[in-house]
Amino acid sequence: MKDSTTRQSKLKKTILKASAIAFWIAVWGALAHVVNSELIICSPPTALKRLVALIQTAEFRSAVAFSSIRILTGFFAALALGIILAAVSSRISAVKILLEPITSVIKATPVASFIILAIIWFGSRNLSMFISFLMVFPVIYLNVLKGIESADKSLSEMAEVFRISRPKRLVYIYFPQILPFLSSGCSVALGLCWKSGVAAEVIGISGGSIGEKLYKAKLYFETGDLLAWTAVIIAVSAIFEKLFMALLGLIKKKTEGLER
Amino acid sequence: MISLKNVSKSFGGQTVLKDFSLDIGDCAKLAITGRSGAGKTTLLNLITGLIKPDSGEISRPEGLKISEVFQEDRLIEPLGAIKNCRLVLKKGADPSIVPNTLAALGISGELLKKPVSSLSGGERRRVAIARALVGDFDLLILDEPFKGIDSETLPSVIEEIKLRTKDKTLILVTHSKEEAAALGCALFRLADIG
Repeated sequence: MKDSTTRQSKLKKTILKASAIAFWIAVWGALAHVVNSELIICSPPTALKRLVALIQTAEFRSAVAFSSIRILTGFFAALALGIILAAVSSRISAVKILLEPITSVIKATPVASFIILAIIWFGSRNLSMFISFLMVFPVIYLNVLKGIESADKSLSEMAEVFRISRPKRLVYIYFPQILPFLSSGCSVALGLCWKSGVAAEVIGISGGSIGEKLYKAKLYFETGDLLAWTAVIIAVSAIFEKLFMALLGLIKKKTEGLER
Repeated sequence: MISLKNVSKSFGGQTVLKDFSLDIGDCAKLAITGRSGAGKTTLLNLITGLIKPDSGEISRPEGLKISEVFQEDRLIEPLGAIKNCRLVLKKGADPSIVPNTLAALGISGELLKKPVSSLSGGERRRVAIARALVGDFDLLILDEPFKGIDSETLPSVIEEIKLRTKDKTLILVTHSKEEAAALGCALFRLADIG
């Protein structure tokens, strides 16, 4: 009974979400109809046709692979370093104080400034990797640090008295308490890494990247291509976010009550 | 032998223990009583090493293994009773000690399948006591251990603790002389400071 109610409520939510998307596509279509210029704004069917045509090309696959590898490498490097440094900062206050101005500066500085500096320093080929790393690092670091600092100290004391091994403490005491903070940090960072990574590719005109395709679409006023590539970025970002968050959820379930 | 010599401890200018000395012999059974805020839990934390004294000396036997029932349950909420207890077992320990101890304290059947967060206050308390009893220990510390345990269950819980601490050192913090007597503890009243 409870299951069928939950299923119904999920179905209702999905229908509502789909209706909202359909509404905005209709608004887009109406706008394209009123403007009546494919150069300024193409219609949804034109963008869809371009998207279908793009997907079938080898250029599409190589551009998606090029950008994904770099942006995700930046994300995972920032994830690893953010977690490690948050753990170190929680134990050594000097490291925390040392990192405070860095994270504040990264958060406050416009991403375009970093992109231009990085082009000067490293060139454009691996630009999106560096920018993705830079945007993700403070989000992960600060969220995990907050998680560690708000973790229940009484459980750490319990583990100390009972001489519970470090791996067991990590899995059963620290990880479940930090996971919600890591989870929300990753959710924000995953959207951020794609947006900033592709922006870097557009500004740096990184050859063979999604950003370069967007730049060329702008250059030749190919609005259909522009919207098709935008849809690709949204789709790749959403798919990766769903996969990654599902993986985190799985880890959470595994550490939480599977072994009652 | 655990020995405290001229130990002083303050928190934010508030002196909790001053020039305090106490010797606790091997296999001793000691009940510490005293007014709330007299420093009973501070004394336990000094003995376990969770806090350090401002001055004075604390000596414990090398490799002393301590087990404790804290004033709060300090259980890992999403885990069940068995998993909470197993966490303190060392490699090579017989895992059957966990369900046996839990059963002796009245935690069995359906209760084992639930996360401890959904158990009643008294049930959670008994899981915390079971966790303290299943590990390998030389010294058992009980900080007001019987809160929330009903009078029908209490005798069997006390019996189980007595059984498991026959040749161990036991320190009990309590406001109840009856509990101290039931566990065969000598009374030690912690005097107020100032």
